Amino acid sequence: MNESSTQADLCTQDESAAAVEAVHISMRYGPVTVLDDVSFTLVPGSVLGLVGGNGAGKTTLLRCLLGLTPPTVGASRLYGCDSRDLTDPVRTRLGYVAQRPELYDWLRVREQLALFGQLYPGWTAAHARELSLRLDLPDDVRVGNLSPGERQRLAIVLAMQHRPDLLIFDEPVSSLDPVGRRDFLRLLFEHDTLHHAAATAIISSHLLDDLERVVTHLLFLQQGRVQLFGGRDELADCVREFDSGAALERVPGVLRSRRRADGSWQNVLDLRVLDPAVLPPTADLRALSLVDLYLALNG
Amino acid sequence: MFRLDLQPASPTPIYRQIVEQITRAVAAGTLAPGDALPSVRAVAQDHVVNPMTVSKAYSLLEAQGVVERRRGVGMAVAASATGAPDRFALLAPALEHAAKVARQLGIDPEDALRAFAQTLADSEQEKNHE
Repeated sequence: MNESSTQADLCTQDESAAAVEAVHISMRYGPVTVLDDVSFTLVPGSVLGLVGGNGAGKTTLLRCLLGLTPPTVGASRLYGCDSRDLTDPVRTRLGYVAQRPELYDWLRVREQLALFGQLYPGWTAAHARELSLRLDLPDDVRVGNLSPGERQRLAIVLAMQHRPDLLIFDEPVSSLDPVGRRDFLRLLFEHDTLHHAAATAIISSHLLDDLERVVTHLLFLQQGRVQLFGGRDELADCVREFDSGAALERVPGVLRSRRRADGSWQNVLDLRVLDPAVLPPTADLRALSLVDLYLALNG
Repeated sequence: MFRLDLQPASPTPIYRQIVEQITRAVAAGTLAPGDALPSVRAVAQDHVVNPMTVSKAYSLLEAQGVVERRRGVGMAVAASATGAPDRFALLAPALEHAAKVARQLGIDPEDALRAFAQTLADSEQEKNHE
């Protein structure tokens, strides 16, 4: 007991620690590589949009970060604490919405909220009720009678009701209508953590216009690898589309080079690492919206 | 009544859309010196964008002297921001467009500069004739 509380102090008192740190994470199931050398760091207050096609490894990455699935190689830390061995104080700082949340169908909404919430120091029934109201979630209905969208809203309230510092959302709004998605984003902006610290969030989603409204950072995952990572505004300034008559050589900074139907080549460039000598001096470089960038990288 | 029009589907980042729209509204007189800007929280809730993004835009506008922080009121258009906040910044898009066209036509930079100097001289002469 003593030993664990010492370690807890080490984990929670290091205010300079990154909120999330992934160090060379790889995950293999037999011959299949699901994650391949994923590394990134998030400082507190960041909101990371995790994007990539189906099967890119997003859910596995989130589960590794939470310590639910240990990686084959590498490690991750939350607030300086190893994900495989999270201490209770660090656990209380986490909120997680799983892709398929486990809910207790026989309980009423407010009973399920209380059952889970009571375990946390920051929880009050009043706050849980306020969140339910703001997401238009009836709190007197049995969980088993909720619609898919309502179940998703319940999962969101379950993740946020104890006012955690780090929110991890695996496709939190896939079943929500546009109004529900707006309500969710507004709730996220107003999220008040127990320690009144800036909340950190990781959101995996295919709803790119929604992500654009909220993220400070983006991570593009493709076939388990980090294709592109950076601050949202940094990427807006440094990632460009460039058309050429022939394929570009695969040098660092050329993220993708793909042939269009008309025979021209569409290239996606990361100007942070690209040697400018690769480009003709009059190259016409175009900025991309998030949707266009996603399609250019994955299409 | 001034209202932001934010487009998350645009290639222009949201903070820059806010900066550009407020700068233009001030230049056009839609926003007058002393006019209060909506609070960070109000913009974030109305347009459903991260309050940090709004803060960042307001800080940039403050650094450019377009708006100033006022005790108890929040952000307001700066007293000194009458009319054109930075004339060269407003000229830049037209110049960028001209540069692009010159490049597409294969006109080399020196010839393009000479052509622009001639255009300036012509317009000066026209003004003198009036």
